[in-house]
Amino acid sequence: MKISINRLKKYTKIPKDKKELGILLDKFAIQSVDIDNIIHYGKNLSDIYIGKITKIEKHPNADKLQIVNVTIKEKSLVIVTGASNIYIGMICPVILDEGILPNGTKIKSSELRGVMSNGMLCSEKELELSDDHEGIMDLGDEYKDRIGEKLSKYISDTIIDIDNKVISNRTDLFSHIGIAREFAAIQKEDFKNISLNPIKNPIEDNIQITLDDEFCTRYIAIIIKDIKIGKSPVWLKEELRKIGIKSINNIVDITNYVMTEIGQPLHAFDLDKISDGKNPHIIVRKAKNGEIIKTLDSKERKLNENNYLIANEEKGLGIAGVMGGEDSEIDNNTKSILLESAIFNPILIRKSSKQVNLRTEASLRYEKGIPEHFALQGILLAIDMIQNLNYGKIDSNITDIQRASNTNIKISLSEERIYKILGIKISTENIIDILKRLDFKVSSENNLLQIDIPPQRKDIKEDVDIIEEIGRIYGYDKIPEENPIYESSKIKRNIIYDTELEIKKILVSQSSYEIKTYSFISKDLARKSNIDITNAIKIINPLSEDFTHLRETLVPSMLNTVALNTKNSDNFSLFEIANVYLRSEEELPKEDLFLCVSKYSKNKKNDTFFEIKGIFTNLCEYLNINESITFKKGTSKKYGVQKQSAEIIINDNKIGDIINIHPEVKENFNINGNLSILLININEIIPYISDKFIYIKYSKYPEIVEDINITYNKNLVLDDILVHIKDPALKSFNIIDIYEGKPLKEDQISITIKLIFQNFEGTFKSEEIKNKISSIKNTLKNEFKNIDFR
Amino acid sequence: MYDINDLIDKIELIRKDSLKKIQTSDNIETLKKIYNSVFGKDKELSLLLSEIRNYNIQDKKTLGEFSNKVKKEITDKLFEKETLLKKELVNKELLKTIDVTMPGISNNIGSIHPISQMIDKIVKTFEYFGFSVASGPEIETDWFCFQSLNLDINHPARDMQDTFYIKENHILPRTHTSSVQIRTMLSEKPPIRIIAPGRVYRNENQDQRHTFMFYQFEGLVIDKTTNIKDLKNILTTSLKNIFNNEKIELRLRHSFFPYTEPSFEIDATCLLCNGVGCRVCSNKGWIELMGAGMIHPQVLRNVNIDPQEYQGFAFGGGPERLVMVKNMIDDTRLFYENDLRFLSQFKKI
Ligand SMILES: [Zn+2]
Repeated sequence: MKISINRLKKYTKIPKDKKELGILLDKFAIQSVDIDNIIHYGKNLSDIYIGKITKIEKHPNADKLQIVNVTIKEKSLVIVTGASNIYIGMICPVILDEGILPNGTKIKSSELRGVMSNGMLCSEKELELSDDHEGIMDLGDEYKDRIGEKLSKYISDTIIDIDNKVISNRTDLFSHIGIAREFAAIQKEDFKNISLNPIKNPIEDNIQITLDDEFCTRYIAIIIKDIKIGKSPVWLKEELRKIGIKSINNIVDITNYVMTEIGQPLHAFDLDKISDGKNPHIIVRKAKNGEIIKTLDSKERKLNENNYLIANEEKGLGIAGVMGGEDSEIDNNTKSILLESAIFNPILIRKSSKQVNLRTEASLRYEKGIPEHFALQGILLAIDMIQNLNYGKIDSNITDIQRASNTNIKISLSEERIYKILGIKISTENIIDILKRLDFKVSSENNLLQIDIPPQRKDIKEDVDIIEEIGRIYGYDKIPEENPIYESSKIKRNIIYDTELEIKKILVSQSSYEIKTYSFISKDLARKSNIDITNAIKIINPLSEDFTHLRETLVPSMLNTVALNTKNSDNFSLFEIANVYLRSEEELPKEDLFLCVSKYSKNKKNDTFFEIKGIFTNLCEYLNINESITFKKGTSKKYGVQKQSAEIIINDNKIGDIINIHPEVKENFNINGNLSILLININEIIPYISDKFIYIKYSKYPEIVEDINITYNKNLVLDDILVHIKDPALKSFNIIDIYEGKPLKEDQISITIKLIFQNFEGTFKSEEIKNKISSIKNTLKNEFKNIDFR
Repeated sequence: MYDINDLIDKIELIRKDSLKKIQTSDNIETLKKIYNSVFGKDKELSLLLSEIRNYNIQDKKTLGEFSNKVKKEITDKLFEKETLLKKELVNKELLKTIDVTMPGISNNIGSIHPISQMIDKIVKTFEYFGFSVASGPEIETDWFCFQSLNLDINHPARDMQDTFYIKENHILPRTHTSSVQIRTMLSEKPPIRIIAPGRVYRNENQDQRHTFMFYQFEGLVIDKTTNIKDLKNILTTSLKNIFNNEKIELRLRHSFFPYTEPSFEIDATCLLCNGVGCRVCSNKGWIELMGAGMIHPQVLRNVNIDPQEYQGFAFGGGPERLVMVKNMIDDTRLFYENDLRFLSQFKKI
């Protein structure tokens, strides 16, 4: 919503000095309403003059062009123009040779098809006054004594643009009056309220009104005759243009002006179109299912029971509070109008406007809930303007039907409570002064304030609402900066957060990069990943086809990210920790926290499966997982290779997978090379993370290290061999070398195992060790036929 | 048994031979071999010396003195030579030059996502004030996400929430982490101090400043006394810590949220221009960092806490925004594209 600062001057003092105004606007943005944008309306108009067209000729060499003589003071210029809305006597903005437009363009005299043009007639858009570029700006007769003067003398204002969302609870601020009251309060300046005269010499009631009481709580109407529809005066057009409203005709412009001044939407019906000469009967009612109305924008709207109509006995005349009907619209032949000012139920307006997918300046205000007394103020101001401008004659009393009883809210508030919330002391006088400036009525006794809430402040419901008013106008900047003294109460570790962080740290030390991908995936991404998402939870209103389902696994997004990065890197590892969402019998889906690690290598010689298994081993060691972990060959995942994947099992529980990605899936993502993925259910491994660790003594005698080398057929599984390597003195063993290739046979593999023996009683004799080794070898020989030692 | 002179000759022969070998040897291993070949238990000299016991006293004495001299000479020469060789080795090693500018040998480290790093900075900072990490489901009910927070179905503020739905008007990916406030207040008794980071979702078109999914962190304090002065001072201290900048000042700008009253936007001095005004802060000198306010009494009533007895504040912000401000990032979508050329720059934010 746009507010003209000049228009506020009727109600309160506004500094003339630019710098002072800037400071005030800053204060307003901090204490009252945030400003989206400040527009210096009419700035950079210093090269624009007011001119009058004295002669128009056809261009001899171009059909679409005309040659115009323009008078600027004594001078007369010849200008060639393509505009079609010009006429002799038109007063319009002119820019001369060498002049600069607001957008920085320099105008040069030039020859247009053989005729010299010495300047340009300007449109509103060229002057950055509005988006209108349909023709030359018509300044109108009011400017006839200003010819030759600079336009900037008459068009200059500061416009502030406010985000409607910020004031969605402040219906009183959707108007210039409301904003003016805020300016007055923050400056501690006087506020002069609008004074409106009641109608004199009432004429008999001649409007019959029937209301739907739930929907319409107040309906005010009046009949105005001898209406002269025409152009609005220039000042009115200007006021509307400044705040982005297009001028339509004098009556519509007045209703729009009143709406932006008071905050009350009005609607004018052509009386003859709604009542056939008889006294009108206005009916506010629910629309029937399937009822059709053509609105002012010439669109046919199909209504249902969510919509409400202003109707007569025959038909709908407009969608109440949203948009009028085309059939009852005022036009150049209108002789009499019925002017409506009404209050509608905000919730029902919201539904109605949503149903027809139409939000207007009126519905926007109605949705927020307009205070009841605005309706009367609004219609009185409009009547005042119509009479003063001689556009019509009052022909009826004001008919005012009111259904809601005005309940005056009172709130009592202790100064102690104010201190308890704000944390700073404000004097009683100061508190009362602030509240009075905001139109609250206050009485104070023994530090207890009794506060009457003004009817326009529908947002004030309890004591803290008032404390906020006091706090913001007093100024939060007056709260002193101190070191917060804060005793800590209870410290609770969050095991999941802590574990996530530990996992991230160890993975980063393993050259892996954390990624964050969207929780929603598409059918297409799932299909490329060989993942079935028929059971996945769907978003009923997705943003686009790319994000339609809640993901049940992190893999598709990981594959997508790997594919992206293969363009620039040949060898990398990525990981993500995030929830997956599974259908559940409960009200909410089951959320499970997963770790997904990928390892990609363009070079197929790098065995990414074992690289990622190595990462997993380090992870378990770092997390202090002491359970024995087994790897079961195979996978149920369709994106994995059966013979090159494993399920990770701890104590019979499957906690994750290591998977070599299926060549077809890699092909789908254009990934060339080796790609393996580690998946871990973090909630499943947390129980195995031990925070207990007991130091184990080691022998003071030297350890004996012996290597043995085993060559075996590949149909054996290493784990099956290793379980037979046992000896009471064997402290540990590990694989130090793996070899395949010549001189071994194709189906053979050779490993070197380092055995570490320790003895607590003394140093081993070499025979003792020899015996132990040969006993281990004998056990293996007895267990496996085709196994050799070197 | 040898004649005494024969024995002396034999020992003398070994002496000469050994000394020659010692002189010509060029490494320590050879010296060890020489020592062993002379003094080894079953070696020549030892065998000869074992004969000494068979001679008469006078000869024994002569032979003993002689052999001791020989032994001493050989060991002295061995030691002398060893010292020399060691010294030569050291000198040789000292001559070796290395190019100290060659790269170190390591496997490269990866990086924690900048959003996670920022969240952890925030968490660690608020841990000083006794906050602990809390969490709640990402897919929420309408009650936890809206109604309990004073945003009933017809509330105008629902305009702000462009919401995805799983079940119409009922189950939804949460639009803010404020739902965690509600879950915590229902499951714990005051005093409460939590910080809740997590993913949130809004049905908004993607652009430089918007992604439909992003992160938020939510803070909540409930006790009997915490007021706006505490809010301002705790947030000021925390933000100074998070940005490691003592000069930062905070400004509470009046705002409206249905679940807090009074409500504020929290602005901080622009980090780039220190409040003078620049392109990043649109010449305001201030940048908007988060929203905050005192918990609305209605929200407390909704979770059965008496607003006359208990009060407190909440705040919420986007870690993306803080990283963008801190590290001069101009497009929020970069965080979710996960290009390594972006991520690898954030070893530490
Ligand atoms: Zn700046």
